Amino acid sequence: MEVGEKPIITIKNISKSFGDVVALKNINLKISEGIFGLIGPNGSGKSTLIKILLGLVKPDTGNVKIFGLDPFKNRREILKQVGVLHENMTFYEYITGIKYLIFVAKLYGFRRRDAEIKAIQMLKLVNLLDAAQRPIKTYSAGMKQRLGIAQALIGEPKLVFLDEPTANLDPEGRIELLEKIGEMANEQKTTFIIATHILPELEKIVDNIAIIYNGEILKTGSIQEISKILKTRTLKIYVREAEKLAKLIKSMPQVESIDFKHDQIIAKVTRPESFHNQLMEIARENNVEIFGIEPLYTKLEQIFLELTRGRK
Amino acid sequence: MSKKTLRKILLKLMTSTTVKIGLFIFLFSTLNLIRSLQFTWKPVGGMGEGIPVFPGEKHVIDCFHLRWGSTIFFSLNSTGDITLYLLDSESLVLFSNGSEFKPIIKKQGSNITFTFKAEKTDYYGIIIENNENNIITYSYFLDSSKEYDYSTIYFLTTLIFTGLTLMLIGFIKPTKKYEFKEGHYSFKKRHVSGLRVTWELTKIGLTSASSPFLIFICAFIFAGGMAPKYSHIQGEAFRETGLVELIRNPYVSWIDLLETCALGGFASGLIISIFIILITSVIVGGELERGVSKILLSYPVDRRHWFLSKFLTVMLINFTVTLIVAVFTFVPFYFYYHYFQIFYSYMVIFIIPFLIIGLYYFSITLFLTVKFRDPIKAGLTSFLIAILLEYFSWPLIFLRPISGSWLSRDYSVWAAELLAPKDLLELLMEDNKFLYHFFRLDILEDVFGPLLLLYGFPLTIIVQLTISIVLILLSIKIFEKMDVT
Repeated sequence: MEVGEKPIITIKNISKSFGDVVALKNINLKISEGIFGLIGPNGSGKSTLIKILLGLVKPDTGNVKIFGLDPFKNRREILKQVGVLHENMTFYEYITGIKYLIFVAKLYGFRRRDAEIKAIQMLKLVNLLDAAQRPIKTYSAGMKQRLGIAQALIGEPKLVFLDEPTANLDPEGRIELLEKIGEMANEQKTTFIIATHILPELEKIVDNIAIIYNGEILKTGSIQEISKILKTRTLKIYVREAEKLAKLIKSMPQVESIDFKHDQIIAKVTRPESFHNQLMEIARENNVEIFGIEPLYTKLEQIFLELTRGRK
Repeated sequence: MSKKTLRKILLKLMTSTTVKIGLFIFLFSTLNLIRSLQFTWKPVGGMGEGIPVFPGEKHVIDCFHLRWGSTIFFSLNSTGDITLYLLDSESLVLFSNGSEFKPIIKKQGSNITFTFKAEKTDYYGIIIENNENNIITYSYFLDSSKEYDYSTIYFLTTLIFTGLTLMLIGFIKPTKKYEFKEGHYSFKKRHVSGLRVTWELTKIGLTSASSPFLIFICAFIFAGGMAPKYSHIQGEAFRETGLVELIRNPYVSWIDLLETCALGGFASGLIISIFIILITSVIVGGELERGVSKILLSYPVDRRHWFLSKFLTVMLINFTVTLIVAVFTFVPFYFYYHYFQIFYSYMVIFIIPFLIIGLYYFSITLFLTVKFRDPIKAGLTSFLIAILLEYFSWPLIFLRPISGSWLSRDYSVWAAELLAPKDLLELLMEDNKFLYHFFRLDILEDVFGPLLLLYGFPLTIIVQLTISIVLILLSIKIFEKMDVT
């Protein structure tokens, strides 16, 4: 499966098992510049795939190339241009945040003075400057996550892996991070690989996605392309008389299933646009007041549900 | 104390190097002082009786080890006039060589009593000249209840205050504030060599290893390890090592050497083994288990750099601690005995075992850590191996760690006679006499023949270094293929 034009990452026939547990099954993928979403539930193989790409875990079969190089043979050449935020980052606990970032910056080739300035910039970026001199041990989970983001970006990487980047972040922090990712992707042409199971946020910024489930890639492409597979949408209708309207629209050809409670109707429908028009007409004719209609799931969530339905 | 102040103190404790160094010195000195008080302030005085002297015995020698400030009350009855000399160790040498000597006390008569207060810590001998075939009985009371090792106590107290001062400086020193300045910065990256990567990893590993928890553990282990020094200093311990017999021989110059061997014994056995096993388990196993290694290996770092940095971290800690302990042991020793001549040889017999044991146990623990990927399992197994090697390895003598106790009884006797480490090492390689004892070759020479006797020491070094290198290489090989998750 190929996404985009100039692949930065090429994955060929990758399989990996840990004992009896199959983590990845024959993965083939090409990822090019931009923001790429690796979507899948916990335990689907996202993190294992990232670790293989970083040369941390050896695949049983297949090979990977990053910037045309093998991460197992050319580790340092590749990793000089790569930043990583792992899921559940663990740091040296007794080091202060700034000391840790200076250390990382130096590994990426910054001189001592530059490393310090860079570390301050990153701490400012993730709103941790006030806690710069505190040992990481005293950081909250959210602060550690922000420090993790800072260390992933400090080396001015061309490629950034972010494994569950919004975990432990407050809503404001999530928005800021996603904005920053979008900005870096546009201005600095940084490629982001974002692995997550939190889909609504991702939908706003990703160019392309791959849906991974039980170690298999189910679908890959842009959201627009993949959306074509969507046969149904689940809508939430806010209404004064839910029961009355539910009965009226139940027999509509677009309605696959319907449920209601209090002042809400959850309807799974095909051809949502024609359903919407007819719904408004029926409501008007029967004097039922509709306050609003919105999708219950984002497009990405709906795609994910559609693809994984019935699979184990 | 308010919560805010307590929080500030804790933060400083975790991050300030000055505070950490101060804390280590403070803890180590305090614990050491407690240990030394336990051994030196305890009243150990007692009574003693000399063997009755019968007609025909011309010279009688009895020896005491007296500390500075302690007193001996002496009482003698004789059937006729005798001459009594009280000599210090220097005069004892002269006496044994038949040279002219200068007694501290010279008394004549049939009833002699005297009280003597030692003005220096030394070995003293009483020589009775019985030229008239008298029957003599004598007794003494040694009041060592004031046997305070003041110099050691002063030294340790000074260090306690030094530690406290350093901690205070660390606490008072304001924390550097970092400010963000708007502006356009252009940074130029440079090539980072593998060596630099290794050094950066080592530095951060060392900083991390200096956590308050490890500082406490190290201070306890090493202060506890100092105990044998004081126990050996006790007169009784010297008697057990055959001191009195040696004086009677009378190779008095050996007395000094035996003190060295007693101190060399400190480097012995399990103390250093436990320390190295603990440090390796925490630094290598802990990083692998907690996932820190996964993070580090996601930076431009080769696996071998990470590995080498762990080796350097452990060996640097080992070397630093060796030096600290050597100084801590040597300085009170110097104050106590006022001898400087054994310094070099003592340092060599101290440092060589530490470094070799360090490498040996590092390699064993490292191998088990990468094999098990569980620091607790690896640490406990290594500890079991350490016990087996220390106490049950005599049929496989080359596997037994080179420890101070191993060197102390025989080797340091030779070592202390030397002034230069070079000579000492030459002797290590050449001399067979001491090898005979500390390798317990008496058990094995019949089986393996004289070659073993000749090459015992270098063989042991070669065997242990080879084992260490093989285990390290195997560990690297396993680690290179290992999934870092």
